[in-house]
Amino acid sequence: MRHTTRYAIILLGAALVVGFAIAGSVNPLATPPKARPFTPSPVIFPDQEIPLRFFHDKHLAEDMDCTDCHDAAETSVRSSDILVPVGLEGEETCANCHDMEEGADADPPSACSTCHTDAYKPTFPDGVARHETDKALNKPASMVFPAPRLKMNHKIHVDNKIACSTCHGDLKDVQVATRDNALPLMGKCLECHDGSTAPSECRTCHVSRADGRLVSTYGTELLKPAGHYRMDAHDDNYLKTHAQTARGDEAYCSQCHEENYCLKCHNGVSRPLKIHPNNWILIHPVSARRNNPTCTSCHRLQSFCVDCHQRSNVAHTETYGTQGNGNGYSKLKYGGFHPAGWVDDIVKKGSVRGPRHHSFQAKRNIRACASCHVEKTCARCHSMTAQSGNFGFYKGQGISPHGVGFSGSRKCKALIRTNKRMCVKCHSSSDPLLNNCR
Amino acid sequence: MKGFELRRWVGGIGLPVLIVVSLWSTPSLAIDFRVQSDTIGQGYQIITLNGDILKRHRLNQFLSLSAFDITGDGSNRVSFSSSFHVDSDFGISDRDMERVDQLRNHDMALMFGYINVNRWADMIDLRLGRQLLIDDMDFTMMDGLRTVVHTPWHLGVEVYAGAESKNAGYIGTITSTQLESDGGGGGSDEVDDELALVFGGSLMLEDLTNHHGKIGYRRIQTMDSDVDGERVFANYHVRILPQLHIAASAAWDFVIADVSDVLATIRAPGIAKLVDIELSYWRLIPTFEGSSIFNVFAIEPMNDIDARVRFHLGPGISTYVGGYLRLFRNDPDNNDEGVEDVVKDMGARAGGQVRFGRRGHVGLDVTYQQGYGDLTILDFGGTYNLNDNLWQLNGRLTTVIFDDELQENLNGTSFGVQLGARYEPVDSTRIHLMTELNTNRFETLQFRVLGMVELDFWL
Repeated sequence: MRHTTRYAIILLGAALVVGFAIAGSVNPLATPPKARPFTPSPVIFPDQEIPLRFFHDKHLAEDMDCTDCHDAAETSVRSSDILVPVGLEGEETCANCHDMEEGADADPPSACSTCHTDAYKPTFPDGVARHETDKALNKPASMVFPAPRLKMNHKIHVDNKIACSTCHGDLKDVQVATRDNALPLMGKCLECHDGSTAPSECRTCHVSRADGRLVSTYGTELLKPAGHYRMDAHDDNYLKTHAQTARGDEAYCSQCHEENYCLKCHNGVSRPLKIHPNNWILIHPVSARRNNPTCTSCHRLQSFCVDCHQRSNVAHTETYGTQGNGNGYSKLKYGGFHPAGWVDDIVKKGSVRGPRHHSFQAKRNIRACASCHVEKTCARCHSMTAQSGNFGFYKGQGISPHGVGFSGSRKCKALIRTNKRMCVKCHSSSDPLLNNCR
Repeated sequence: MKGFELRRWVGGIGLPVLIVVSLWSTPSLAIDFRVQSDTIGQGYQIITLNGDILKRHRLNQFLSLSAFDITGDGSNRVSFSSSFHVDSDFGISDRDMERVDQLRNHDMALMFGYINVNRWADMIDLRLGRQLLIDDMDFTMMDGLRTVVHTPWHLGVEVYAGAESKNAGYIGTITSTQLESDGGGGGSDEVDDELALVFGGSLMLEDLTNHHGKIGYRRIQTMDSDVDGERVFANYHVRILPQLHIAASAAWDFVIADVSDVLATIRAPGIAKLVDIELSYWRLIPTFEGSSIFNVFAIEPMNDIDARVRFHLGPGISTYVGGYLRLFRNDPDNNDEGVEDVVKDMGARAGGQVRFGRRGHVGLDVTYQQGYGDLTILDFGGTYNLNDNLWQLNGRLTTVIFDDELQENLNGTSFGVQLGARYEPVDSTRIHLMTELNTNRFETLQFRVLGMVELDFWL
């Protein structure tokens, strides 16, 4: 391929990325569907307990402002702040409208059961009125709002004139507002936190460590992506599919994981048991012969595979020196490991190959070959030049491994242009056959 | 001490330790230091075709030293990260030594070590030193400089250049073949220790909720301008609907002048909060370093279609079914008799998992493969947490039924048991112990043991 073609491919791709960037800035999901397909993570927002009746719909229908009840939100700078009226002090906020002295006859109704669930039956000492709730003998179950595992500064949002409904949605049809129907999903935050309107780094909102990475362990709970915004759901299959996300955006993964985390599996030192079941050594040939790309994400064929195969006498060592115990070649003679017909002399047979001829396997899955054989094994027959071996030099047999139409082909020209060392392993540098590809 | 080793120790340990110690001893800066240490001990057996048992005993130690917020202003603008690896082989009998001579080593490697500048002038990231490059080409170690410029227009521009660090004649790295657990670099024709340059760049989408993508280029070349690897690649992910994702990536390899890798995936998670659907297609032509003649032979791509459907039956209960079809085309130009045009490999799998809240889970997976040998695997495993995660116990039972027409001597049914425990007395310390017992037609009892101590301290 000429340089101009290469540059054309790169420029075309760059143009596509720019195009997608422009298209992507117009968010097709900016207005989320009314019914949310999923709810906020319980790890971010731990389970709440709200033993109350409440009717946001009725309050909003009275043209009340959110801050009439949630006034603390205007000055809150921490996510742990409680922004709803709670306890007897909070009850005073309710009492601004709910006349508890009148009780059920008031407008709006103000009986205990107007707000408290049926599970709470207050009892009072003799002579104490029911609206004197601070003198009740039994207290209602407390509301529990565990601190979210997020950084949240309501004040900044209020100061920037961001309406409550922008994040919490329109609650005119909602009664009790809970995590599942009123707390924002991350996608809602990202509508503004896009890197230009507001910071987009994960740690802007998520709790982070000193190294800038997110805190993902909270006691026995683990914060991990659910796959709502990327194909990154850390589910039971993610161990096998994570490569696509990692290769596409390494920086995204590094928001939580440091290099050491990747290397625990990818450095080839210890065998990840979730990938390799018991008796793996016995059954790994099937996986390897399937041209399984995941093998080479940790193992290198020409060192890990070949070395172990030679050491354990699976691979013959004839073309490699004295490594091994010396009897590998005699026990596994050339072709002895492979089925009959593997190395038929197709020249003598008039170029007719059987279905088990090694050339088919080599063309469709050279990795399987390279896990036992080194290049010299191939060159022994396919080279047109002398090759060195254990027992001195021998002449290559010059059997061409190239298919019909290879000479002068695009691949032929690319191979010699990018790295001529490959060609001269079998051809002499002055071989006229190479001129067809130059 | 030889000059080579001296350089190794000075460059590998001396310099990073000097940086960390000098920063540490600066009282005016509130720097956060992190020290991580993993020690992994393994003992296992490899059986040879002669029936000999080769006993392996290994010790691997990783030490990571990092310093964050070096400027001390709370911005974590500048940081330093490093990781060292020491590999020791020991306890091998004289008889085994004949076969593993190249494995007896005490090599040390600098896995990575770099200074990171984050959002300099609010838009530039810099990383200088030994670092890992991950993209649609592969993962590569580089000693060099990487720069990312974050523009205000949802675009990031990445440029990097340096020397590829593999088996070069100085301190080893992640990709050094001599550090592979059972490799030694001795099997290959030659140890590739030639200096190579790596450079490239990418243009990437940034800060878009529903679109993610990148186009990149990378070239690895020797000082003689021979190309060891050269690719242009692109990937793109779009969330079309709240519960429908499509992702695709492709790479063009300049060495073989062909599309080497295509991966396309559709995923629909949580349909009706009940079903996840995943469908993927993978086309792959294996590639090797530019000087390898294996590039000549690899012509026919692998075409793989994989599907998986997961059902969420209730809180903590899920099941799945799936399968794959992998097609390999035979040489289309052949005039040979009895040769199929397409070789098929296919399989199916099914399983399920039950989670008991934070207590643990049990799962069963059944896998069947046909094409390159019939293989059936029944895998039953589980985890149980004790004392609020102070202890975690793991167990796994596996039955493998293997029928391989190519290697009939491997055929048979085998059984295996894995038992493991993790003890985490404090957040900074984890101790693991795992044993594996296998029985198969070659060995009535194959034994493997792995122990690991993880330490992680912030100073």
